Amino acid sequence: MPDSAQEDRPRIRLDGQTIRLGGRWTAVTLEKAFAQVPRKIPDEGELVVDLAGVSALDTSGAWFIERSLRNLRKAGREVRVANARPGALSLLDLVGAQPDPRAVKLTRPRFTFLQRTGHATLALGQNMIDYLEFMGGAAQRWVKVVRNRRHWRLPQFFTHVEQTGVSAVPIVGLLSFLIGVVIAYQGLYVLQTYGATLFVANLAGVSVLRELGPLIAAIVVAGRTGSAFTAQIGTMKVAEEVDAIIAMGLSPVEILVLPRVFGLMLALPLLTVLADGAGMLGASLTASLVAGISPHAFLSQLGRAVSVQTVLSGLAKSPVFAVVIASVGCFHGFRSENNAESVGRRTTRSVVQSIFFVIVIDAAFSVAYSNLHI
Amino acid sequence: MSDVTATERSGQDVPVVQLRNIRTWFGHHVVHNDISLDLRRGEIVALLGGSGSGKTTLLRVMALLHRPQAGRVELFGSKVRRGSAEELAVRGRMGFMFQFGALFGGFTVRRNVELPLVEHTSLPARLIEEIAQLKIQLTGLEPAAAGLMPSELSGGMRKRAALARALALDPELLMLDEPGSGLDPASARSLDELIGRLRSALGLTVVMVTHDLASVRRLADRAILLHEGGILADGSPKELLASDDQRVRYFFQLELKASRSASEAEAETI
Repeated sequence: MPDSAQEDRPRIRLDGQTIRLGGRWTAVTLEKAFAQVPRKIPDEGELVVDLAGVSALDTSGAWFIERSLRNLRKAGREVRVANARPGALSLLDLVGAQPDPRAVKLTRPRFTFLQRTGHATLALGQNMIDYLEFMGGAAQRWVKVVRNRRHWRLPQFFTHVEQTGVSAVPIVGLLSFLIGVVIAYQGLYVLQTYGATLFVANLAGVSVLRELGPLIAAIVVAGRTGSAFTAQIGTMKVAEEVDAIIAMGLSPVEILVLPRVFGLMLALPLLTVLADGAGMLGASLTASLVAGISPHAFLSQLGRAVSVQTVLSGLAKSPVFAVVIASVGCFHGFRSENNAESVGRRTTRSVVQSIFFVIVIDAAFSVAYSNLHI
Repeated sequence: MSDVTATERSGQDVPVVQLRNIRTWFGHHVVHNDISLDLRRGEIVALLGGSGSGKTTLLRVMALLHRPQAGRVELFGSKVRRGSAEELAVRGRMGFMFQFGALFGGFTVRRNVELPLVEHTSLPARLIEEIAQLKIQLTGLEPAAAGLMPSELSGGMRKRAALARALALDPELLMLDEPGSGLDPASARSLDELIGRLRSALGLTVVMVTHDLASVRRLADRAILLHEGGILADGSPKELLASDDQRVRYFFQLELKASRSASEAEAETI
């Protein structure tokens, strides 16, 4: 800006009954006007606001002047504007013709703690009902679709298997391997004091194959895939693509939900097998490095410690986890509203809820297994 | 002798927007093939052209939102480098109204309009609220609409709210992407009137992409017709309508028919 700072700022000068304004009165410079508002003005007689020196005026500046005029008039003073150029005058008219913006009180309702707790509780219940309704609708659609091979949508199914399963192999493998290492390491520490280091195979075998393998795979997938499902479907909703599917007479559940659910039902058990193997590898490696247990000894002890049933009891949970993760992800996608913030909030909620449900269901399985003596 | 409006300082003779040899293409599709034009201060310019003729892309090039593959863009007489401090200063002097509003969905309408004021000025919060409220009312929205969320607005209200936000800082250069689309004829006319009044009061330069010929006739000083990557015609709306060029006539005939049948359809439904 070539002009000097002095010329840039708005100026106010009191001159008898006349208030002389000068300089630039724009949104960016206006801040400097506050300090110059005269503390004392003549007690009586007509006031004149002289705009002769004003070199620039925009709507913000015009409103500043207009609101001062309104304040003065409200206090019973007579004020008139003088020497305004046509552009400034037309702007002041435009602003002056508007109803007072100060009169508008925008009150978004505020809630007390109790009210908010109530709302949240009701919303939680409603959320559960909506989810069950969604699952019911999906099941209904599935019953129709399953009879007709034309509706199976195998290409989408395999795309989802690839995106949710194959691409997750490195992270699931690495995490399970590390979990195996940690369990074996911690277990050996205790078992050494009893001279029972070989039983590390029992410890790692039961805990990884029954519990941790399926759980790790499910939690990684919930974070990776559940969130992706919500974001994909939520963005489609924002772009009205879901409405387009409905308008074409197609079923969003059939096109979007079923391939995802069934894709994950295949991918997650496979990832669980991988997690089991990687966990055992980690445990065996640790055992041989720390306690000198050869992989051969580890494996034969593992064969005594666990049965096929142990592996299957862990694997049996995976399809259930898959249904929960995929359906919760899709459900929140469909619940998204038409804005970016809502898609983000729904994505968060989808991940948190699917991890929560995975752990709850895992606990339910444990209780069921122990009652069935498995 | 100084002018009253905020626009006078950088001289009258420098074009507000200067495009030189602009070329843009998407893949194999050439959108602009060597377009050069100057927009003078205080002009209201309408960019016309068939669908896919590159009107919106040209507007985005002017707003530095789309970088052309070749060519030079100068705003307010200077070539603006991306990411420079100058770019921010220049952006403070222009307002862009997006076709679908692009209002921030997480904020109320008034908060959307306050945002540029909060970020670019250091005015007290109360004054900013009042100015934002004033802008919202100026665009013809009900005062109470300021408290609504964008998702609660109708299409026409969204346009007005978007205009209010584009006008928040009283930009010298206002860019409008299809301001009248989705508005009923009466609202479109009142929006045009508002833009016309603001132009005369603030000395705005306005560029708009539009299909609404009635609005072009009412408002524009200059119409630029884009065709096959170049400028087919450039002149006052009257000159364009009187043009002898077959392609120009073809364009306007088509558009006239379309707008006539649209208004007929409207008349029938009323």
